[in-house]
Amino acid sequence: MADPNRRPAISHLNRANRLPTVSRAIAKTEFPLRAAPTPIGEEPMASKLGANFDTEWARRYPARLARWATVETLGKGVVGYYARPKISGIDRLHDLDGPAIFAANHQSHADTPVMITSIPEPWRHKLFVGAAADYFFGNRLSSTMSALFIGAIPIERTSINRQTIEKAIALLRGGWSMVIYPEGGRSPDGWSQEFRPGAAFLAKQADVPVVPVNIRGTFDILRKGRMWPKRARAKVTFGKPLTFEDSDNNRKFTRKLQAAVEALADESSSGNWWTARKRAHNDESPDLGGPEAAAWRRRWALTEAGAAKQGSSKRRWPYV
Amino acid sequence: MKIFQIETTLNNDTFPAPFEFLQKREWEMSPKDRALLFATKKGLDKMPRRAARKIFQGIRAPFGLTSIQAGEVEAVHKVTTENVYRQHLVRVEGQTDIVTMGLPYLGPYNVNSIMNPILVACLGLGYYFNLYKGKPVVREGGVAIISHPTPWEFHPVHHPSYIDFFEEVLADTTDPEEIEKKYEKRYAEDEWYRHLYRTSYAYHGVHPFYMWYWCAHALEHLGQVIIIGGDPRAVRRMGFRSATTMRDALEMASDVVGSQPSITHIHNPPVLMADVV
Repeated sequence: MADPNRRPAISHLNRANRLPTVSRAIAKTEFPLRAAPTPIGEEPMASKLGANFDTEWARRYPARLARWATVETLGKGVVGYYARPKISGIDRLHDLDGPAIFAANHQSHADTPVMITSIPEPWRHKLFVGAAADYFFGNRLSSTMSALFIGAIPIERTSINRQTIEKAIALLRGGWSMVIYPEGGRSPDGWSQEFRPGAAFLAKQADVPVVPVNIRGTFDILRKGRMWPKRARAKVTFGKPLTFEDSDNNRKFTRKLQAAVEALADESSSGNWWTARKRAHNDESPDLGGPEAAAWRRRWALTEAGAAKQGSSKRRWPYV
Repeated sequence: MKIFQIETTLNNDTFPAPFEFLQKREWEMSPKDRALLFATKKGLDKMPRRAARKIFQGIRAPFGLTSIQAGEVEAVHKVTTENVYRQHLVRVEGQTDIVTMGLPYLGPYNVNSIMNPILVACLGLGYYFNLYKGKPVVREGGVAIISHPTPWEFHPVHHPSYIDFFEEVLADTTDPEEIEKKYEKRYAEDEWYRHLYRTSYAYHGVHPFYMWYWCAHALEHLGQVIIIGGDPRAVRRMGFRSATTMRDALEMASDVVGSQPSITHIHNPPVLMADVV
């Protein structure tokens, strides 16, 4: 039997016989095709990626035109195929005038395409998305794609970067609307996480209303950890815009926003507006965070809720 | 006699757009800079030397003035020197076994002309080696590794006596003292060189001698000079050694400085002066 630890006697000859591949060719590249490493003891250059990535160009007309064309053709086609979103609550935006912050729960990467194609005119094409600086702006290609096709601007998740916040405020004041996920990241298990006060802070600073939005079903389309989407039905429910009142503070407003999204989730899952409103009035809307239980119970509860929502008994076994 | 002296200092802004990437340190280059560097390198490799020279010697440096001093000679010079030090001095900790440097395409004596092997030696060992304050960057007996193609090429109009100096004098000896004793007077008083100097565009007949003497300190101080990419015949004529790659050059240098040498690289542009402490 062959010894699994045995290595070829003349390994370099063996290596030379391997067929060249694109990845091997890329791995072999050197300066200037690849960036030179910073020598030890030298101050590295301030990165132009992450929170420092300049997205100004993505708001000029050529980029806006490209984005418009992509969203209206490819974006709508792909979202229509995978998500077929059912949009409700548009009537609540009738009184909304000027820019707004669309704050939604965040279940998957499918949320942003669904949001961009669901938000009605005139906000849809003057929209930017607060995207995680460390994730979407980690390399030049993904930074450029994010800025061009979803109008993303980098937002630091773990620290406060004055520059990015000021950028977002300036855009909001300049008539641009924003999509933000106050949870700060995708849901790990389909249930929502606690909202962070970023949206409240921006609403106060830029003096714009916040539209609570609930998205359902996108967790099944492209949950965290999955690389390729699968088809499922998404549901987007817009709520009544919330304005930052004088009596509010960031925490209070964030709680109000979370409660509004929970009420929308209740409305969306039960399909009964009247009951959902009554529960919201009594502060009894189901918690978006899910039951306090073991992971499999939470998953089960989520699947049950999804099955009830769709009114089908087709799938009784939880996604694990 | 009253003398009024005016001295100025310039900044290091050597290359205008689109060549400004040449002034950056490699790790500070953007993808665009690296693409330009790659394209320039590949283009120059394919281009005839004459055309490449024409392009690069056509670049006009956008130097800016950093100071103007005027007044009494010594006082003015003191302030100018201070300004130059403030701009050019780079702190270097300790002497090294090997100093490496890349030479530019231009020196003071080959403007719109050819950088012949003697000027290569002068630029590397006369200028760059001597750009230090206190003590040389490389230790006594160390190695200088210079990167330059060093072609066996001379400009017959600008550098006529260089051709004879290279063919006759350096073929005999590379020792500056011996060269001075044996050949300098003859070249200095040569009627043909004088005639070309006075009526044509030639440097004086004795000019290559002073270029070579300029290297004397480095030649005395260094254990070996290796020119990467240099024409082996031309390099050998000057008493140096040529290597194909930096790896080969370091391997050759290990004969002189051992297998674990310390290496310092003088990066230019910009032109700098090492303050070795």
